Amino acid sequence: MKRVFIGLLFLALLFSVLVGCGKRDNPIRTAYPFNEPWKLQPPAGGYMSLQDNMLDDPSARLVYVYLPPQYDWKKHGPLLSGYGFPVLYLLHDFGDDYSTFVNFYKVGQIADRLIAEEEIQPMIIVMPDGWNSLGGSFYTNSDLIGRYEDHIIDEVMLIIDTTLHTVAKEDPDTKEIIPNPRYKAISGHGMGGYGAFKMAVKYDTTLFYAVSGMSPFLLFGSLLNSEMIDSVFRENGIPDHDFSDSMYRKISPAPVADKPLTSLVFAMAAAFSPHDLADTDPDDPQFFELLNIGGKKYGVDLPFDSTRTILEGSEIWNRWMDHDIKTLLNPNGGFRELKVYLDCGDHDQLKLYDGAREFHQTLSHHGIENTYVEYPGYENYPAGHRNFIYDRLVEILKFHSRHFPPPRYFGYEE
Amino acid sequence: MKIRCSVVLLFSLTFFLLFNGSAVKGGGFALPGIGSKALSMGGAFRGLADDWSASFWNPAGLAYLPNSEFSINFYTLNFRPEFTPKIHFGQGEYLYPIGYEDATLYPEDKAFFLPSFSGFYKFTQIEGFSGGIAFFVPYKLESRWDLYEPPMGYDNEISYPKFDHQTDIIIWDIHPTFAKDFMEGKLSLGAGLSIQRADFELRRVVLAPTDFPRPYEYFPVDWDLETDGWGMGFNAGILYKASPKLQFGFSYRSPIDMDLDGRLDMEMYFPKVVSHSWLDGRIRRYSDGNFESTLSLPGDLGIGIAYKPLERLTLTFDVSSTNWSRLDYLDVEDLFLDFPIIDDTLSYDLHPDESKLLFEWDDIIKFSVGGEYLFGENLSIRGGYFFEESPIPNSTFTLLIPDVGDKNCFNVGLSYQLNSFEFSYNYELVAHKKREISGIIDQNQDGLFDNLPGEYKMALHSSCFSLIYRF
Repeated sequence: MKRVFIGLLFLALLFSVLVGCGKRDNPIRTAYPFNEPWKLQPPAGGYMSLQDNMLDDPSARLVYVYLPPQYDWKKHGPLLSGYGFPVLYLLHDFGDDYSTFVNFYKVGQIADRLIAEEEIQPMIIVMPDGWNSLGGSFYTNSDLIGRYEDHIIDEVMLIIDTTLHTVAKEDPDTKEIIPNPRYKAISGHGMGGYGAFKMAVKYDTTLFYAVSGMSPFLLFGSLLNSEMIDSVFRENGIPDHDFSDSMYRKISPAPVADKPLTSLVFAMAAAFSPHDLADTDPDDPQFFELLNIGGKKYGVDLPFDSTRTILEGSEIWNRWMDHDIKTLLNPNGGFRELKVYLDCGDHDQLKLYDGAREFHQTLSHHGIENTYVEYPGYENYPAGHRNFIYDRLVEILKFHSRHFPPPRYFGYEE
Repeated sequence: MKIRCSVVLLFSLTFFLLFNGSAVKGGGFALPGIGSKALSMGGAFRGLADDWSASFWNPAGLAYLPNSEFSINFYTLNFRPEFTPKIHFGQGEYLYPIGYEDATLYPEDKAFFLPSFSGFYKFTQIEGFSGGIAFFVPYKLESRWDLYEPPMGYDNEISYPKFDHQTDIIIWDIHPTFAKDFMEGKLSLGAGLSIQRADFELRRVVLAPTDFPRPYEYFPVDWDLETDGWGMGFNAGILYKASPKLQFGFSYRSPIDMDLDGRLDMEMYFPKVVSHSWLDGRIRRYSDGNFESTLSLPGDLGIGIAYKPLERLTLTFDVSSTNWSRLDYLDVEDLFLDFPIIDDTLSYDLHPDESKLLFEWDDIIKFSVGGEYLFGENLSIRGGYFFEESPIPNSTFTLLIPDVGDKNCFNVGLSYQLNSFEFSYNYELVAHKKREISGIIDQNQDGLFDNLPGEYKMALHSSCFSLIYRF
């Protein structure tokens, strides 16, 4: 009996030591560290298109460029041979600058992860600067603020094609750079979404194959609704039922931090309805001075008056509408051929979903294929204008990757 | 001689384990019980209570100890939880992760050992009177998890701590107990004093909401609480021998309020956004406080039956109830919070509620059955089973105390008597019912999350070795 017990006890000890002792390993987390993007330095003296701006904003601008891990400077120079990486131009929002997508929304790490997980193909992402001292240029050519549209189209795109391994060709005879729109797309957030669609409707398939926008500013009539105009008056300390001209004259964009909507309206007016530079002593009721240079007044014409109504059909409003995406859209033109995606949070503070829905319906009405996503937030965290851009960028990159042709860069092996 | 040497060695090892904290590793907040024999019988021991562990199960049983005795015991635990987090917001195709991976995760796997010992003296001067002291560990949990990592893009300068959910709880019980029989040995009464010492550390991630866009909508706070303290309670029991074959036991354990002194450190990890003035990827400490608190441990009430259908066979059955609902929350008092508010962007209104640890547990019932069969004169084989509910609701369930689900527990054991010594061994398997929690809950509406959604599984393997010396 004693031996039986000792045997059993020994077995028990062994059992106790062994049972449940197998080591279990946790999955290894893949880190995607922040990498400083490549910076496209401005030409000496700055960009021509921005040199003549009245705001005295710098014409020398940096452009952030995300290069995928596959990009190898040793073999991926500006080959201009028709082989290269697809390029997505990503335009920032009002109040942001060229660095926001990289530093704040971490687009580089998002792209690194998606490429590593083979969710998207390697692509170059170019982030130009549309900032100005009013908060944003709306990527528009204006006598007052400079020619930001030209800056993107004529300067940045050309330098990118001649500096990086993009799918552009050089005509051997004329030495002209021939871009390949099949490998080029444009996107943006907010003001950048407006810029992306503006360039897409203006240049369509001659420059791009796809366009997308995250909470884009579309359709000014919808954006400048009575609620927003009232908010502008409120930001300037004007009581709700005060329609006096004297109070109306008190509207000013400064200080910017306290008046986000007023700043937005002034920035748009500077882009779309700058006051005639030749008229330096205006007495127009909707003129608002921004600069006084040697007694000469320069400024903008606001599209609403002291009664807080948009003067539809007025010269000022018509100038705005000349820049409206719906006005610019030619439903029978090349835009039909573009791949189109747009989204908006269902609690956007500026109610940009109204314009996005209407634009989506307009495109659909004209038989232009497009995808519109209106996304929700979650409890205590609504889908406002900026809250989910980090996540929407994933969808944007996937959308454009899907519509780029298969990789065509040197060194790629299927 | 060899046996004496073994006993000395065993006692030495007990003291080593007892006073060398680093050797004590593992899990299990409320342990299934004490004593190899009692555990082998599934904890159905209130009606039998015939060894030193009666001081825990039913003190009245000590009156019937045949001799005075010393005991030493080792309890080994292999704690095998696993967790598959499903911690994100939103629903349907819009799911937003907040730093927890959707992969099956395990804690740092470690077995640990707990000692206990006792000495009870049968007073010959007073008939039917026994008394002595036991020293055991009724509550123990230790686990370390690497669950959280700030989301991609957070890029903080200093890495978030690897083990972000950590529990180290141990409560020792010094238990002087006395018992006396009455009615010519038919009835006995017993009572004991619980002098308990608690030492614990709890560490978790608190996500403080901000007004920033994702992925900065929450700043993680490394919440680290260390505390210790004392509490006192008692237990009492009755054992009634209805016949030579049938006994009834009844026992009560009082709730205990542990008075704790401790320190709570909260460090907020800021994301790094290049060129942003104060999103600099650094850490800011905003509590620097010693505090006082009370930990309300439960009492329990149980009855048990022991029946001997055969001379060599004993069957037991217990039912007990534990009022875990006393454990409502662990609050800290007089904590000094000093947070460098930077601007209005950090919307979260910091207040002491952040330091509160919510429990809101439920009362539970436990059913136990056990049996013992004596082979020959020296060898006993035992088996037992118990079923016990989990007291923790989904709304406050986290891995800090991973009592995953209702438990089915199976025990087998044996003992062998050699002269004045009895060696016992028990193996226990505690299988927890799988728990699935689908949504994040802010139970007390303070803006902070009180549970961790996901799928939980758990098994616990334990063994108990016991040596009793009777004289």
